Amino acid sequence: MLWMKGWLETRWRLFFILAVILGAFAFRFVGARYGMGVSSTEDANRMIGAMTVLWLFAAVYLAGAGIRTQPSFQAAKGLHGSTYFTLSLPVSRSRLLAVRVAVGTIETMVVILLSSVVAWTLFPLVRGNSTLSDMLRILFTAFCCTAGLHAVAVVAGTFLDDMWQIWGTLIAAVSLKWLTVRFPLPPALDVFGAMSGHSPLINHMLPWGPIATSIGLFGGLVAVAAAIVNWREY
Amino acid sequence: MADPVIEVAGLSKSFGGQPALNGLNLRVPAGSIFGFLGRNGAGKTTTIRMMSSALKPDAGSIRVFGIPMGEPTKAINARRRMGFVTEEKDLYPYMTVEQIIRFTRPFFPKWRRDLEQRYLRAFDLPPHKKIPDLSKGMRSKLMLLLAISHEAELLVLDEPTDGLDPVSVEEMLRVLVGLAATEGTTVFFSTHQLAEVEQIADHIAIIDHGRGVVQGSLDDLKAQYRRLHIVFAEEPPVRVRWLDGVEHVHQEGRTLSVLVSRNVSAVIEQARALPGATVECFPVTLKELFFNHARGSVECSG
Repeated sequence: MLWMKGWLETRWRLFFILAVILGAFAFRFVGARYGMGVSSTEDANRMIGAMTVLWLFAAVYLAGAGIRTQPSFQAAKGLHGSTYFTLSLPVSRSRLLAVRVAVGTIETMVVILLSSVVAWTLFPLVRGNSTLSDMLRILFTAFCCTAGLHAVAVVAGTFLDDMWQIWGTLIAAVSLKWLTVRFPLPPALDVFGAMSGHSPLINHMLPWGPIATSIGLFGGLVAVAAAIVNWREY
Repeated sequence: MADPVIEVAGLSKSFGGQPALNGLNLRVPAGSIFGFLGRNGAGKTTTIRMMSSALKPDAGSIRVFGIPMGEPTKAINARRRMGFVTEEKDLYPYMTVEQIIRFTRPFFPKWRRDLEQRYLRAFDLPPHKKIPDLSKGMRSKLMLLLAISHEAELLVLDEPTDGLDPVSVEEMLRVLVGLAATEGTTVFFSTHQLAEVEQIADHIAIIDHGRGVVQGSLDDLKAQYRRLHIVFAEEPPVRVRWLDGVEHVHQEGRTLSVLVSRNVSAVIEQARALPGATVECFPVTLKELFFNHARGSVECSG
């Protein structure tokens, strides 16, 4: 039932992100008749870049608010009070957090999967010369590499209010990206690069280093989030 | 006294250096209807939030069914046997009445659908209505339904009648008395409505500035306390060295009103010995007890 709670809490966020991505695709697809489609390799690369940014945004936006009830477009009234109801249930705080993180992770995967499949289907230039196995590699890389940022947002969600969590995490991500441009990371640690310059789309192989870094970051940060949730008061 | 269902020992809690609870002790007997009284900010909600493990004590402990609520894993077992109505009456705003019931049901293995349906009808709760569309009173009833449908052995209710109309208040109080009488459920509730406490509670505690000031069986307390009205022929004596047991003395004209908690006979004798005094003795009401012990509510002298 905690899964149902997580889904009801986040479904509008998921629909919003999907609507933005699929709306943008529809615009480019229909716009092809008027010279606004994906008609060159540069266009295709820009689209892949934009998709990567949207995946990272989705990972942050769907990360949740720790064990507190998350605001949605529909209702923000009574959110904090309902956290007391959650805490009165016979369930551990760690389990509450684990289910919420799992719901957010799965929803991020859905965004990545759906947007990739639609882009590959509608735009041959985005698909390029990549094979089905390349596509699976890209999906796997994207799942793993967004997980790290997702976990940063999960930690932020344990103590920051919703908007602060989203903006705080995004500002942290942009700052980190800027830092990695100024002071390049070794390729094994460059999670951003694994989804752009060193992506399987270009290398035709899995970037194991960044994947391991991101998954390690995810595990460590979720453990930190669990410790915060168990320690703090409501 | 039999083993208490709730045992609070030396509970202290501060927020930003301001003490909310200051060494609170409580013993709530099994099967009792326990009224938890205090002024705004006295520490009632803080105590109740600690019972649900939302807050952690700075010092002291809470045991429910003998289970220390400070140990998260064990506290889960205690919460499985408890039902809560929180102060805010807030439930998930994106759910309907039916969805919140469906959500809550699996957490409690002893959930009884017959009770759920009975109270759904009795409280006139519309299953398909969204929670934000319910009044505060309706949300109170819904929270009570969620609390009692799993045969909770202990109900912890923070101002459960807040927002209810008088008919619904009576209905809710009747349900609580019925549960205590037929199921042996222990009911622990905080309220500002002294009349409700007087109507259903058999035990009370009054808390003031985070400290318990009175606690016990309501009948025993009423039997123990007396109000003396001492009328003088002349001006009352300015200073009287009252015997132990005098809680509060209030002068109005030539009359002294004296609240006595023990040594009643001796205090009556002392009063009769005062020059020109006529003494009358009355039982006390809960209101008098509350006003006397909730500090600052009345001017104290003597």
